[in-house]
Amino acid sequence: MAEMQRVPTRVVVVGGGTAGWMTAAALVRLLPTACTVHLVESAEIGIVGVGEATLPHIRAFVERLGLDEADFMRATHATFKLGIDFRDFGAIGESYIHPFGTFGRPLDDVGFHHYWLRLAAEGRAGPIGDYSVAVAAAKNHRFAIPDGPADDLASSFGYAYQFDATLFGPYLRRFAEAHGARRTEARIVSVEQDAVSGDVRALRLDSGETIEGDLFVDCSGFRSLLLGDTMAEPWEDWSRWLPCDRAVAMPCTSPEGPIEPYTRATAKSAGWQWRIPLQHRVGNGYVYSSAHISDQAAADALVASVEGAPLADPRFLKFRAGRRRNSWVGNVVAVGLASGFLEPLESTSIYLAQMAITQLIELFPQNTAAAGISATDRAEYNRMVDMEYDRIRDFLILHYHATRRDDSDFWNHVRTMAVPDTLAEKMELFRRAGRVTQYGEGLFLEPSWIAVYLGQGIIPQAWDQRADRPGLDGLDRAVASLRDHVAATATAMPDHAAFIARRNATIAA
Amino acid sequence: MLGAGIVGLSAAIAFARALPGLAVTLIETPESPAALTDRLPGTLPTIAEFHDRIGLRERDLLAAGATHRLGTRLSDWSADGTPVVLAHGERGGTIAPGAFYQHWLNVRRNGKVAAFDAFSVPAVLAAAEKFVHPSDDPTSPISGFDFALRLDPPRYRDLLRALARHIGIVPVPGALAGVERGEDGRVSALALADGRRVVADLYLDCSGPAAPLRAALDTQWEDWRSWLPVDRLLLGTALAQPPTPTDGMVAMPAGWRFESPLRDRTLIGLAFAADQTSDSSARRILSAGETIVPIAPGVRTEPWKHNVLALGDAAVMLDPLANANLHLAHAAILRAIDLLPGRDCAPTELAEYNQRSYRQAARVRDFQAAHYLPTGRTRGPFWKRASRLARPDSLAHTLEQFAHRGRLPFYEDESFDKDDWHGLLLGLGMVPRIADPIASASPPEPIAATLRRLADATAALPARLPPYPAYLAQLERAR
Repeated sequence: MAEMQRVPTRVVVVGGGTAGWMTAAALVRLLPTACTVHLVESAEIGIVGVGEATLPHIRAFVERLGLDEADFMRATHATFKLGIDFRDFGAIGESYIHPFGTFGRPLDDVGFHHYWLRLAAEGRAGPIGDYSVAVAAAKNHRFAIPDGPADDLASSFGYAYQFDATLFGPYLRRFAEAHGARRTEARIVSVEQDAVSGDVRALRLDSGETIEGDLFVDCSGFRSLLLGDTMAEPWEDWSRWLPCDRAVAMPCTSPEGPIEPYTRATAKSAGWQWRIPLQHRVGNGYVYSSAHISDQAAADALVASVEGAPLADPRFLKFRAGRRRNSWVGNVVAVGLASGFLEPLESTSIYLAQMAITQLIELFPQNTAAAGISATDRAEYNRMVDMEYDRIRDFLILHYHATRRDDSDFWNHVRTMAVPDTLAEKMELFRRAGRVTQYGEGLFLEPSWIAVYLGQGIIPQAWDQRADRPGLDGLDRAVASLRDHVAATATAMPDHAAFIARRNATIAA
Repeated sequence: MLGAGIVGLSAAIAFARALPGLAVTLIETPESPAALTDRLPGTLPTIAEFHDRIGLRERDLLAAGATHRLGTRLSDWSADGTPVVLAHGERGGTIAPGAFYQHWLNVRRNGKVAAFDAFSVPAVLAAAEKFVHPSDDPTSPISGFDFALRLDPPRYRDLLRALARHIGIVPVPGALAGVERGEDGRVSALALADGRRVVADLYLDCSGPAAPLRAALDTQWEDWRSWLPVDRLLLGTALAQPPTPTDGMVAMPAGWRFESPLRDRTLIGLAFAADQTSDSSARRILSAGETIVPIAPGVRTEPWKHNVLALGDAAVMLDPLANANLHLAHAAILRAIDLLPGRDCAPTELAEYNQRSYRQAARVRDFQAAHYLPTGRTRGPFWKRASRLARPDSLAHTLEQFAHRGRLPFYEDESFDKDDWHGLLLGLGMVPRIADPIASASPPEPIAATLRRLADATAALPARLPPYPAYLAQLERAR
């Protein structure tokens, strides 16, 4: 073991976008003795950088690196995010918030939503969001750090960040370089492979320099320079379920007034539009299916609908839903968009990069000169990535498929398409009596599924029979009092924008 | 419900508690000696949750002869013969970046370190035969662990009977004579030997491995005999010992024997393979043995079909090695209540129930099979064969990952958590080939010193605690 530590694995990271610098920062911070990190990026190649909205898991990443939250948020102009406001998805005119938090609390071993279903059937319940602190706070533009005992409403939610992704990478770059990561600014002109194994040995740069390595992390984005081009790993296409293949993005100025602590997703005739409020501006974009709308029409629709003054020209992105069959092939691991793409409907891009990095660290190859890279580790890594992708895929498809919209070819297609069996079974289980398929590991847990099912009009035919036990009037009173308590908890929180301003001031001081 | 042993009574009470409107008919069939779940004393910590649900308090259980079960001592089980104590709970805590067990492994690879179970507070207490309830204060050294109960099965059954009667369920003696089925395949009535007919919406078969009710629909069964070496038990009773929170399991050339001390007697047993050891040889080895119980480890892949649900040994059969028999039955009961469909017993809910029940049972099987690792004892015919048995894919995957770099792959519906698996695999002497890179970033000497201090501090804990009989007496006085 001591010998292994003397020969650090030489890691070469290709690409200096969000995924590249997240990888570099995590490796130098968490494996200081097991590896050296050399990142190659080219300023000529832009970064995608629209992954502005995140999921609560990002906090574990920030914490593990030892970053100061307030400092990191100020540097990336970040705001807090309590959930996503989905508008016009189930039907035009309807909306719901998918919160990072629970609805009510279980009563006598039965989930709150079963009681809610019973009351709703009697016309005696408000929208399910009325029973979620995260939803109530989001609607009132309020925010506080969750705190208190586990069963307290004040700790019944989580949060994530909305930040400027073009600043997140550079922030991590400073951190990574301070911890010993090397950076070379150049374009890669060719990739040198081992004649026998096919493993990547070195990168030749336009500067004439050659960078050798033991492990190559492909963070080259959609290009997938090493995994896709060099290793020729096949692509698994998911566009039959997720037809959106383009986005057009355009930031604008923030409107006067409060800053929403949530992301907004509004369904449009051929896709959906995001709105992500940051401290200094608002990010906007239209994700669409090129088979259903032209680029120009999509851009026009975006420009017409943004609320502030444009801060840049509309910028187009092309992508396709799916993933490389394997993310780790030979000595090449792809992290981020180079390994696959799922559209940003549930802000999963940065999460997928983070998950990949976490797995890579756990399965980090050591002593590669003598032992090479273990097939066991590669297989396990690919198994974990598969599981994550499959589950997120099903959850995303649900947002399109669970709709009553029939106003465009796009919505008619997704409403009537065949969905994966795994999703069809989940939907059927919920439709019958409000049960959510249980799984222990996976990104989206019960409250998320409940939010989207109910929010998009999948109303169960029945509920857990145990929810019939309490008398109706008593239940009604208890649930109404819960609603008041939720509202009071949210109202007691500080204004979101004021909270951020105070945080920033403490740093400046 | 067919069968009024521990499983049948547990199901009847739990269903009636959950849904007071249910009308429950509990048919008390002649007890099957092979219904192990109704006869074994061992439980897992999850039993506390089940008891909460049905309204039993710890003092009720102590009054019914139960004692606390903190851990199991495996003797002659590891390769070098050192006893290994398995208990439930975390070890060591956070001493540096990286997992505790990876630091322990690093120190072990470089030199001498105390055994892995020396860092588990409950294991150290169990080794000293001490028990106290874990503190709610996480800073207390005596916190962060779980404990189970050791039941006195007949008295526990009586307690359940009394509770059942209290909520209006009185078992009716009867024997199943026939199962009537409708054209749709569903059961429409049970015919009893005395001529009565019982008609219900849902039928539960809690009658033991023969499962005459569930087997009337089909006899599909997944055989696990090729994964698990025990197919026969000799059970008996020995003299009482002072109460202890520690069970004993001892490896012997023919298999293993176990001891579970109750208040007024000790339940004992020998687990062996019939083709290697005859019943008469088994009786010579365990002279106090009384009853021979054949077991065919395996699982019904579809325990719930149409309107018939099999529970306990009617659904899954395992030997007592990991004390999980009643745990599986309780988990199945709670799952059935959580997923209870309407009268139609629609396939959607049943499929979810069956899938999760299968996954859970299969992982208990894996945990049992892992007790026979070749890093453990290999002397004697039983152990030679056991160490060479083929492994189910999920266990092979777990062991391959663990042997490689100490990682435990995630499986759904796992009954034994990572700490349990670590305790078993590391306790039996498995050493992963590759060191964890995160833990290896810490300099080895200070880590080794921290571990020495921790082991000493943990070893000093039992001396501060009263003997278990005194603690138990104190609890009972407080009642």
